[in-house]
Amino acid sequence: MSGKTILEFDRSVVDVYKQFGERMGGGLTNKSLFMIAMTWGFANGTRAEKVSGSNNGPRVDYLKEPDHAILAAIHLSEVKDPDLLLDLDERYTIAEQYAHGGILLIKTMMDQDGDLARMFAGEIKSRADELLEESAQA
Amino acid sequence: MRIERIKIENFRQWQTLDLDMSDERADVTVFVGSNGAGKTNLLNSIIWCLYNHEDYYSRDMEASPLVNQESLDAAEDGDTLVCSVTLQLALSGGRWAEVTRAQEFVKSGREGTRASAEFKVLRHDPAKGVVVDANPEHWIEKNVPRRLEPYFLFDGERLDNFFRHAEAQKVSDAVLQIAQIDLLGRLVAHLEKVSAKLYSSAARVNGGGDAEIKGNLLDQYRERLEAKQKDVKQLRVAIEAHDSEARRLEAKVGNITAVAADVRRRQELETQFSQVEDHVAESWDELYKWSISAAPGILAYPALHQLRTTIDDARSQRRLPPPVAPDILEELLSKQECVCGESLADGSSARSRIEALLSEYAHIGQLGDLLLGLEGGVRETLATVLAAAPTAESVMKRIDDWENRATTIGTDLELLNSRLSGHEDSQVQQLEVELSRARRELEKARMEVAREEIRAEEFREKIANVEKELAELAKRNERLAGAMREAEFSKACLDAARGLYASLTTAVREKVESTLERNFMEMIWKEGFIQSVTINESYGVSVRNTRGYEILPDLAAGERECLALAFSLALSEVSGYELPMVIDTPMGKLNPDVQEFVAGVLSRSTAARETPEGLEPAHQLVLLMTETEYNPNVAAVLAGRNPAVYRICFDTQRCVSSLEEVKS
Repeated sequence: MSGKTILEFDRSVVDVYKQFGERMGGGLTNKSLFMIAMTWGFANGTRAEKVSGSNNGPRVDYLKEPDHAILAAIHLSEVKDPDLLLDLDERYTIAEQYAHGGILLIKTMMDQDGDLARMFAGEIKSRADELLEESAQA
Repeated sequence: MRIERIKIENFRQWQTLDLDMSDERADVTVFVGSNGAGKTNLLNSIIWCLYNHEDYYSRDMEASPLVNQESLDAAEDGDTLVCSVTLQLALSGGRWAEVTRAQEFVKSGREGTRASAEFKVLRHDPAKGVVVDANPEHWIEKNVPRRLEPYFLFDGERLDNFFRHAEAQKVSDAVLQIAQIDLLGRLVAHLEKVSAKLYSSAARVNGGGDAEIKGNLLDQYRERLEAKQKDVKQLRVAIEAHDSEARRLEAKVGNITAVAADVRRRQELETQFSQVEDHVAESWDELYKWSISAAPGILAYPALHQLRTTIDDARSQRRLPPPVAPDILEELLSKQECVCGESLADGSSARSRIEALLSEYAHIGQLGDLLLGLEGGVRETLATVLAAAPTAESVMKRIDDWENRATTIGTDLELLNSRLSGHEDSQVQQLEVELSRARRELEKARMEVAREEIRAEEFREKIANVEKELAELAKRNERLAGAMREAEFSKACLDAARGLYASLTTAVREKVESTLERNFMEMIWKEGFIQSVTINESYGVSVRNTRGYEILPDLAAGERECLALAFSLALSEVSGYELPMVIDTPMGKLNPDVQEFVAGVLSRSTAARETPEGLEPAHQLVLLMTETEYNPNVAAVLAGRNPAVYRICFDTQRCVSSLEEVKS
């Protein structure tokens, strides 16, 4: 069990999350923004060492089964030992650190010229194609 | 007749021009200039000089002053400027005449206000020397009749309209005017009135009785016939006005029907383009949404895969679900005794082992519960990821398709935009509405004329019947018979005039018809395609192909122009006047290969030729052509007539045109 009720955005990037949401077409929930930032940081191996709380971010009880599965998968990938998966505090800390790392990478992408939503969608589609190819080969 | 010299002062963009055309090359003169250089205004200067109007001008010119703008700008307020054109004409028998029209303008602000005007004809007669003609307008009507103007001074491009709106009335008017038979027509109309009066008077010679009743009837019918004829005349004026309005509107935007169709097509394409852009935006939006929902699963896919392996391993190692329920051990601890009888009292080593075992079971159980709890989410996410890739592929394909469609429509739109540059949709739509209204009115007026003519014919028949009845009465009444003789004599004169009118009309029509057919056959480039060109008794022109089908409505613009040109040449031959032919853009609508043919026809049909009556001198031909028209092939054809060629140079800074001779 964990006493944590919110997965927090780092205080320094709360506005970046907001801008990212707007540039992706608006209407994105904090949970979606957090999950994207976290997995983007994870996929690119960028994890912040420390996250300063902002009391801003998705509520834990809003996470659904697939979200928990992704958080646990990243947790396992970090700690390697399944026995440690019961440590939810650590899982949430890892999640917040990857989310912070990810949003900083996204900020770099936002600073570039071009349509962010198109760049992002193009990148995700390209990774999906690779997965499909790998899956077919397997 | 030849134009031997043109002198212009301050006529529109022609600030000064003094061109001697009296040398041996005066037969054919070519002026070459791009659009707007001053070709049409050179033609207009001749028309203005002879007839005090301009036929070929645009709406823009209507607003601009006749007097040269450069001269007007240079003048001081209150200065008088003269706009004048002089034509020196060589006439038969060594005679010549000099026609000058001048209009004074007084500068006021930026405008020039019209002041006094002058029109004079100086004519030279070998016997009498040079005299100023006392009635210059009359001299013009006698030597260069206004009615012939459309057939020797014209814009080639607008000839196309003549047979596009081919109508018997125009052909009839042209043929009758050119051969001056219209004068005979007026005589017939006059005789009809005289005859009517005589019949009316004869009927009343006895005072009362049947004859007077019939006389009254005659008067009634004639009044109604005259009213109908008046209506027809007014309707014909209305037809001319509607027709002229329709042509003005068409000329304003070229072929308005085609332009309006382009405008409609552009609007359709713009709507389609906007819809396609919406589809592109919607598809991208779909892809964005897909990327947002699929991103976490795709980006964490390796970790999810690893977690699923861990879960699968746990299951294969039978750690999942936890194999044994530890409830029995809890029970033994509460009884403080093992089933084997060993004590499980607090602090005993056996109890400690069981407690450690229970703790391990608790951990395995928690972990098992956790993994079981995660298993559904992991499998769902992995499945979603693998299904997501094809979804994205299909959305991308849709985006590509819509974007390709947008590119195609965009290219079509660019083409249309370049074709419609300078046109405003709203203006074209407005013009189209106006044109459609003018054509409706035209059609309505034509129908009305036809109806009125039928009614007029009915009255003519009634009048003829009453006249016959009067003749019957006259057989029994001597006084009436005497009066009727006078009326019947006038009727005989009228019938003779009508007969003469009919036979002359037929002769001229047949002459125009045969000349038109010959000229057109020479011009047309589709060899063996045309069988005949005829003008029927109602002056309907018909062009039939070798299979006997009527093809006049299907002639291409260039072919219609050739037909109109052939008609002009035919009328020129029939008129008996040897007038110079001045044609602006004679081949503007013709394909390059056809231009060569038409140049040949123009050259041949105006050249000197042997006739049974002797050598017929050449007609002077003045061609105002664009560079495209005066191409090397056309130049080679015209070279046979050794033409004088001038380039019209337009100074865009000063808006002034000048001539430069092109040496061969």
